[in-house]
Order: sequence, then C-alpha cells, then structure tokens
Amino acid sequence: MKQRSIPLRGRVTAGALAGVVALSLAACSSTSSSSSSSSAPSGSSAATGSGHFPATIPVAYVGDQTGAAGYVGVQLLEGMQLRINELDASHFFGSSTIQLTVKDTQSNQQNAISLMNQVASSNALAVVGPLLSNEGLATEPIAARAGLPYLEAVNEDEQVLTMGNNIYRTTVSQLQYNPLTIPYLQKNGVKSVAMVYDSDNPTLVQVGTQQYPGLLKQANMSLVSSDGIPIADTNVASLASKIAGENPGAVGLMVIGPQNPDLITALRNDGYKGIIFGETAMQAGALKPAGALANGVVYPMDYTPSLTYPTSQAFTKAFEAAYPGTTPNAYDAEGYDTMTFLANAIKDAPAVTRAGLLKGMAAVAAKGFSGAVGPLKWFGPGNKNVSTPGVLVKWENGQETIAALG
Amino acid sequence: MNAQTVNQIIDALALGSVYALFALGLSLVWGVLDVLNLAQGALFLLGPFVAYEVARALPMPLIAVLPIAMVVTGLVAVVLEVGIFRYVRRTVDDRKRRELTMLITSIGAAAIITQVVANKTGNTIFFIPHQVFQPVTYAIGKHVRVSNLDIILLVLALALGVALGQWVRRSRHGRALRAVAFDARRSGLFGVSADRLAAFTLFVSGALAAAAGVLFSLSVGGIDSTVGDSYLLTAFAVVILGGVGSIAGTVIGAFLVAGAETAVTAAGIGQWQNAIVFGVILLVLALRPEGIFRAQRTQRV
Repeated sequence: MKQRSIPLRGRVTAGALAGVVALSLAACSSTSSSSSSSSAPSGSSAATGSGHFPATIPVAYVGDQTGAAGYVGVQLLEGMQLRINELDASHFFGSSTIQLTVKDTQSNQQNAISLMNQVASSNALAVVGPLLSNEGLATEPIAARAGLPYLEAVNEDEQVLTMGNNIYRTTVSQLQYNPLTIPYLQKNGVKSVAMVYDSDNPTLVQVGTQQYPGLLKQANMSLVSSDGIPIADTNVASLASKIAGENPGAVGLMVIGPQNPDLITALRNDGYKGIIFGETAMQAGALKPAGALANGVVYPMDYTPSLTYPTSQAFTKAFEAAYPGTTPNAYDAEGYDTMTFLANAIKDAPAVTRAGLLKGMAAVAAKGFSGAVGPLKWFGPGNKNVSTPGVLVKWENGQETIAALG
Repeated sequence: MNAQTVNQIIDALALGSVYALFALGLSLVWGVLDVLNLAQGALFLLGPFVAYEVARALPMPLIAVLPIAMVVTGLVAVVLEVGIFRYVRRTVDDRKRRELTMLITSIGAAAIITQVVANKTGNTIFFIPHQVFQPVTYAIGKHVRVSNLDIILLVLALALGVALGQWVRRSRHGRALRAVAFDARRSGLFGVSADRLAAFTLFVSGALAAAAGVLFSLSVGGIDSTVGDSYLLTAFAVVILGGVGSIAGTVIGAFLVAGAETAVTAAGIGQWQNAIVFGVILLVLALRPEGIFRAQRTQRV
C-alpha cells in the first residue's frame, strides 16, 4: 500500500512559513480557484429540494491546495469529498446535495483574505477556513462580520476560536492527546527526559516548554535539558551529540519536517538507546527517511488507520475503497469529520440560513458524535473546542501500530 | 579533552565540509564572474533531488549516483549562465545595474527550481533511498563516534578545495579565469573565451553544490524543498567572512562558522545560534571588511 509522507502538521498549525517559501509562493502566485460539487449539475441553492433544504446546499472551503500547506489541504479535501459522496449516496438531505466550492489560498494570507471576502458575500452557507494560523487570524473576522459559520480545521491557533461566535473547531488540538505519552514513559521506567522544540513555532514552544514540562513534573520525571532550535535548522548533529552525552531516559522531539528523521538518525548514530517520542508531525511517512533507526519511536495522534473505533474502521475502509492504493492519514480523517459536523449541523438547523446553521452547529457541539477519529466532544467557552481520546502510535518497520489507546 | 568535546569537533568538521563545498562554488562565481548567484541554494537542493529520482528509477550505489547528480546540477547551472546571466551581461552595460539584474534573475531561477522540487515531492520530506549509501558509525573508545560519511565529507571538501585552488592558481584555464575576472573584454583579445569559461565556472559551481547537497542529505536522513535556502544565508556568510573569491578563505570560513554554530548548540542555546554566529561575523567584518583573506581582486573602472 502506498503511504504518503505527511511530516509538517506542526508547521501548519503555527503557520510558520519560511521567507523563501513565501518568495516562491509570490513568484508563482495566482488567485486561481476551483470549484467542485458532489452532484452535477449544481443548480441554484434557491431551487426546492427535500423538505426545507434547497436543491443544493452551497458551502465553501477557503483552504490551502497549493503552497507550503497545500499537501495538507489536499488531503483534508479528500476526506471532505469522501464524506460528501457518502451523504449524497445515502440521501442524507433527501434529494438535496451539498455543493462544495474550493478556493485555493496558496498558503498565502493575502489570498486567503481576498477569497474569504468573496465567500462572505456569496450565498455560501458555511465555510471551512484556511489551515495556517496567520490565514485563520485574518479571515475569521471577515466571516464573523458576515455572520458566516466558520469551521476551523487543522489550524490549532487558540486565539482564532475567541474571535467570533460563528466559529467551531472540528479537528482536535494535539494538546488534548499529548498526555497519552506519559503513562507509556512511566511504564518503561523513564526517570529523566530531554526536550527539543522548534523555538519559532508557537504551538511547539507551548508543547515543549509548558505542556510537557508540566506533565513530566506531575509524573515525577526530571527534565535534564530543553533545547529550542529554529525550524529551518536541519543540521542537528551537534545537538544530538549533546543529548546523547546527557543520556536521558527519553527524548521528546517537538519539531517538524526533516528535523524529526534527522534528529532520530543522529541520536541513534550517536549511540542513544533510550525512548524517543514526538508529536503529530511524525505521522504517516515522516519517519521513513530514518529507516530502521526510527523503529520504536512513539507519538500521540488523533487517528491512525488501525484505530479500533467502529466509526474509525468504517472510515478507513471507505477511504481505501474510494482512493485505492492509498492509506488514509489524520488529515483525511479530519476532513471527513469536518464534513460530518457540518452535515449534522445543517440537518439540525431550524432553517437553512447562516443564522439557522449557527444554531445547528451549537446543537451538534452539545451532543458530539463519533467520527473517523473516534468520539468527538466539544468543550470550553461556547463549546467551540473539541477533544477526542487519541491514540499513542508506535512506528515499527515503516508502519504505525497502536502503543496505547486514549 | 572529553569524548563529548571530540564528538562536537567531529560534528563541526562534517558541517564545515558541507558549508565549504556549498560555498566554494558561490565564491568562485561571485569572485570571477561578479554574479551573486542566489540560485546556489536551489542547486544545493537540486543535487539530492536528482539523486533521489535517479536512485528510485535505477538502484545504484553512491559512487554512480553522486556523479550523475553533480553533472545534471552542473548542467542546470550552465543553462542559467547561457540562458540568463550571459544575456544580462551582454544587454546591461552599467555594472551596478547588471549585478542587480543578475541577482534578481537568480532569485527567479531559484524560485522556479525550488517550486519544481516542491511540487514533485508534494512539499514533503524526501530522502535518497537507503540502498544508495548506508552510513556506518565507528566507535573510537567508549564514547567517541565517527561515521564513514563524516570522513568522506571532510576528505572531499579538503580535496576539492585544494584542487580548485590549484586549478585557479596554476592551470591554464585558471589563469584564463583570472584574466576574465580582471577584464573580460581585453582577455578576449588574447583568445580567451569568456563565455566558455563562464559556463564552465557555473558548471563547477553547480556540481559542487550538488555534491554538498547529496552528502548532506545522506548524513541527516531527509530534507525538504526549503533546505537550500536555509543554507544559502550561511554560505554567504562563509564567503564574505573568508573573502569573496578566495578559495582558502572560503574553506577556512566554512569551518569557522560550523565550529561557532556547533559550539553554540553544544552550550544548549541553539535558538541563539544565528544571532550569536552572525554577531561574531559582524564583529570580524567590522575589523576586516574584506574578510579574513583579502581576495586578490582588482576593481575595474
């Protein structure tokens, strides 16, 4: 089975784009947008469909399809499209269908603003927002002013959630399931830990300098060292030598991109034999470059293909049938759950209007549901944030296996 | 000296070797042709990308993959020279404007190469298949470790540095190159083909960048499309610190910068790496604006 390499969730969550990537984007920038529909012809949303639903229910995805976060957005869209196809096939809205318009931000904040303005003034009932935090921070207020329901997917920026009453998070922040690592470390007799984090990524700084140190302290484990490195720094040999010399019981890698396989390779080559744990950026094929040296590395996730919840297994099977030869990953699952949330909210809405949908979203958030990632529960002020039990994944011989369930 | 310090010195030498290979081509092109080639970072990326594609299509060992990557990348650099830099050289008379135009066009070329690699790799990590080369780590005593790749990098950087220096200083082509650097038009009167030499210089520069990129990629595990640009700034610092156009200065500058970076990381203040290293370079340049080795470069008027 083909497994795609998905290394950069952390990069996406913090929206940390290298200047050079921005330059490349600028060089290739265009405001192209594409449109896809789960049914053809799309028709008018004003036409009569089933019950109180129009013939087509227009929703938009202002997301990254190209650029630095493009590969994430493409996979999120695969998951959304799969769910839309299922909804249509099962006549979830009777004879009505969802019409999804996709607008590519190219991972560019200015494009995101312009496209969100277009969507806000269109007949779109709801929008799935862009993935980078800088795009999210810039576009949420536009949607809020238009009363446009906004779904925050992949983007883990907490601040965006506080910017309006029209927003709900549909993918789970790693802060919710990172604690799964601690019992695993305790079980393996770990007494001391060295942390490495990307010092220019707000989410990873938070995880590396606040969340894990707090969790380790509660578990009576000592933090022997904590090293911040720039995201762009791919020469990690000297850092690995330093940590191998400290010889902690475990090393936590809160880094993204090539730094994960590179640090694992360097640590193992330096003779380090302790546990290595990480975060969501290690998912799918990100550790493949390290080969067998990455065997035994663990990282907490919201989804892995072997997750045992019935809804997770159903998603995995459906995805593999829809995209033969491809193994689903967390972004696919999150796209699927995002569309499930939206579909349930449309069904629960007292009227198929933006204001009505906001009530429907509140109703779904109050109830929760079981999706591709397992049970989803909304919490926090206004029930806008979401959690799931999560899963601790172990990487063995190029495959993800389950080390512990949340 | 404890084992940790020895390991850090080995790390610094390996990193310095990568910087040296990368920066030598940059220095050569800048010093001889007055081209501040910002596409050098993209060529550093292109080398391992070519190796990755070649090795996936046809399993081969490093001894075959590396030359292929160097030749292909060198040829891409020649295309830049023939298709862009030469045209600018011929059409823009004013020297300052010409340099600026070349700088901007090299940014454009870099953006295109980087984007092509990004698209081909799906903006994700890629790595040269492990069958191409398996680094082996040797233990010296109980705690000191050195890999075969560290040794290859160091030997290659020093050998190519010396060879390049000797070629520029002593060979007929090298003398012609210096003549072109001094006065391209007048050297043409003596039968020196400035165009051909410029193309050859770009080829060497691209091949060196590819060698640096391939060996670096093998040593770290995986890279993504941003890697070249991450190292470009450091390579510029190396060239300026060593003295533009000075081969020996570039090699020494590379090891100094790598040593400083390693020391900062070993001290546990890695997030300050750029601030401290570039701060020290700033101080050095304040005292010696021409760099550690004053390049033998004459200003044409």
